[in-house]
Amino acid sequence: MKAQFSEHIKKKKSLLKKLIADLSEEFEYVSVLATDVKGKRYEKDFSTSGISDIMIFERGYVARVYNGLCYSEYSFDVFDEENYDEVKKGVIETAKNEVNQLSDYNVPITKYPLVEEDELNERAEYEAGGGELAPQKIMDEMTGIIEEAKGYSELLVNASIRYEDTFVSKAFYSSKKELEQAYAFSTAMIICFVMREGKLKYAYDTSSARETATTFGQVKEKYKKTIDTAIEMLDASPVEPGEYDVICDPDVAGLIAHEAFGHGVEMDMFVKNRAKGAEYMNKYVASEVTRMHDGATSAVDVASYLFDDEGTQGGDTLIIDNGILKAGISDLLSAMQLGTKPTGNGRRESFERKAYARMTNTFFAPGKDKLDEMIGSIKYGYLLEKYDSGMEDPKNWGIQCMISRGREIKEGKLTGKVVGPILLSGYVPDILKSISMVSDTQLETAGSGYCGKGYKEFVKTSIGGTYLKAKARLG
Amino acid sequence: MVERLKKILEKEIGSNKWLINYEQVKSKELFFIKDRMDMNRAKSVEHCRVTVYKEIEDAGQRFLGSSVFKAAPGMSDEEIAECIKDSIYSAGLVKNQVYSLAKPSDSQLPQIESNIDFENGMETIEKTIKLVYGIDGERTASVNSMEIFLQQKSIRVANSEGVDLAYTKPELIIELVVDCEGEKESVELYDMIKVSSFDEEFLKRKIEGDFINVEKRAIAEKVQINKEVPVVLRGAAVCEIFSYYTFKSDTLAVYKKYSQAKIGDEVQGSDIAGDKISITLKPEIKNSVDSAYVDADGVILKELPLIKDGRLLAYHGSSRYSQYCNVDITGEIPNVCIHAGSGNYDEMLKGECIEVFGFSDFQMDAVTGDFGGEIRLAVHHMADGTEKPITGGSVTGNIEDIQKGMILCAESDITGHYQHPRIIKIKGAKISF
Repeated sequence: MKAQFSEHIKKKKSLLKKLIADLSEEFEYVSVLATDVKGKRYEKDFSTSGISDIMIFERGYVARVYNGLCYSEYSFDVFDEENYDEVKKGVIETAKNEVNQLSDYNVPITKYPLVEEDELNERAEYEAGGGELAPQKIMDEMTGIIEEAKGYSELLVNASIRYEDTFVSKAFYSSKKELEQAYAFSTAMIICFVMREGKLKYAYDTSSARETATTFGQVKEKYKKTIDTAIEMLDASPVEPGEYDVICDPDVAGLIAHEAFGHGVEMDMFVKNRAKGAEYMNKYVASEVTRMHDGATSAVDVASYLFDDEGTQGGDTLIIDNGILKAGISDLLSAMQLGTKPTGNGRRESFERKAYARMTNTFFAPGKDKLDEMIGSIKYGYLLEKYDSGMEDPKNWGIQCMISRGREIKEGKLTGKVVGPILLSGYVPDILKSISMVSDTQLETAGSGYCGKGYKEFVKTSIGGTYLKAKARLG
Repeated sequence: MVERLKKILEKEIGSNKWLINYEQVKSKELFFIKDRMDMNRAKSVEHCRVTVYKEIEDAGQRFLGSSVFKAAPGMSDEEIAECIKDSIYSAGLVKNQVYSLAKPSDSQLPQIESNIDFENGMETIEKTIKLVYGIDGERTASVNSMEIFLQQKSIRVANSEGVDLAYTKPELIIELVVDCEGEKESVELYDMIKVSSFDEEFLKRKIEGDFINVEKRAIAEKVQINKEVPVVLRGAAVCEIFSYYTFKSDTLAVYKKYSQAKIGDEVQGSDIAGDKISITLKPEIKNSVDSAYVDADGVILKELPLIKDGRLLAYHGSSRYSQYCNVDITGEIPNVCIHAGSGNYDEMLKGECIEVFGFSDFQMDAVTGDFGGEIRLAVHHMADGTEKPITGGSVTGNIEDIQKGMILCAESDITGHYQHPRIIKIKGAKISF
């Protein structure tokens, strides 16, 4: 089935167009983004269960206007004939009165050019897979999985399974653009907690897709492997700090792509002089076997869309090509400041927040190497699996990745010894230039989590790649 | 919105119970690059979360199901009625152990103290701009970028038992990136400061600290330290370490078996060589934007001594999980006061140690006790009293390895919703450069 575009936005469309027309008498540029995002979250563990609306539920609008100097925005969520004047007043108050007040305070204001838009009228309702699953079926299946898990290992003290389906409708209207899109995605996760002699460890697995239903099916098959992995973690020892040859699984490879260079080429950071990447355009930043993409159309996952939150069509940006930094990703206003073409990466946490240059689906492209040959080439090192979190440092090219575990490799063979959790850190170019092999396995992306900018502005992104071999500092 | 919801609930809910969590948010937002304003924004929005409860009987056993929906203010009455019907159905599929909803209390709800007047918010914004750029003008380092969010939140909690409580809290949030030219490259540090009042002295100290630290990072060197050296933590890293103890004493963690902590336990174990910890949970601490005297369930919050001299005195947590654990209902108390310890600030920095001023993102896994972070700025204090700013490397470990020997400073600081010892000194963490 196809995702259905929001009836709510359809009903508001003519009033939104009236607002754009009225505000256009005051401002040279006016646009409105309307959002209607809904979905359900289902969860169950040993002792509790729950059904709730998804965290990223939203229904509202953000108006952006050009006041002759800079751009101002006003976010609102009630919009009808009754409060029409109040909304219009809110926009004018923000874009004129408050900006004038700041001038009175002698605050310098950046002068922006006027957005130049081409006429564009696009509409897409994307395939949504199986549609909304019946709540009864989900809860019954979750109960079945939890009961089976209880019988699988006596070390298991709790297991939690979660499934979310999300239906997104967004419309972008301006005097020249009329864009509407509807799409769906789903994510699922299982976490298993095991305990032995007072020691508690856990492991998780996830699934994500730009359609509903399939992810639930995928994750429910993973509970035994997840419990086995958690049990392995009970015997895991800390890694001896040092630099090692490592094989990164597609999840860890994706995290490195995301933290190492994804954040580093968000071009609003170029405008702020917060990204060292700006100095390295068309220079080697990685080994020659490295190719890295980002884009709404680069892969089909949770961050695939027709247009971004500023009305720019999504694309596929080849960021690193054979080791050379080729391009960054940008929102509309940063591209205007830099004199570049926006790449369709202007994204908001919700209609309530500012748009920034953000990643979408970010990954290392597959290579030509065989995974067993990659493992076989390591004298002593680790196969790194899964991650808990990461943090960027685009200005100074530091990287921090919390990796769930490492499997010891000795003389080209996995020994069965597990270490973890592991903190992978270092200097980004050192890591990227050390990539010596990239597997020819299927590209895997995963989008079960959220990406922040600093410590806020969380958006859905997917990350991934194939297996890659590199050198990394582990602690 | 709340009255409208109540009316629709009355019509649709039948004998089922409900809880409304409502929040109206107004904000003024300014975004700066260097000393210039790049964009301004404002918002006026409402968030409304409705929980519908349904009593279920299955095979002679009683359960309480619940389901949560979010009501956007732009929804029609018919749409909201549909959400309620769906939620009643969904709640019937959720078989949770029975618990009671919060009942009304005679206690007066204290309001959060603040000197911020949102209606004249541009004045607070002007003061903030002057404060930050005033410091900028006096230092070598400078503002790279800054975001200012001045918000007013009007919060209301109501349920079908008659609870109906409301309070207002202002917030001033400053996201600040400062940078400084070093010999080899320009470096930066990031900070997010959240306060409920415009406390000029507090803000000045925090912001000046950011400028001083980035100036240190500009001269910091990458070094090799291949031995076990005590580590001194401050600010958010201290809060993160102690989040282990508040998580393990939370009834949710206990009920779900993420914690085996028992009341009366010595939380750090026996034979403590360092300071024994004491923690009190508080509804309000100075400058905390999380301060509140009522939680999301409508439970009135009071101060709770949680850990005293290393011994767990009580569990804390939501009404539901407290009932599941059969302990007193404390509600979710938002602020954590970690009591000061025995350490003299200057003495604690004597002898060889690494004092970390900033991590990329220091994290504690409260389930396992594993912690770690990459160092963005630290000072390597030598045994002879000399010191050197350093950068790079990481600190990792497990709470089991450090908790018996922690020294807590006698001076206090405030970071977010934590009042905590200004610094803590730990031994047993692994350092990797």
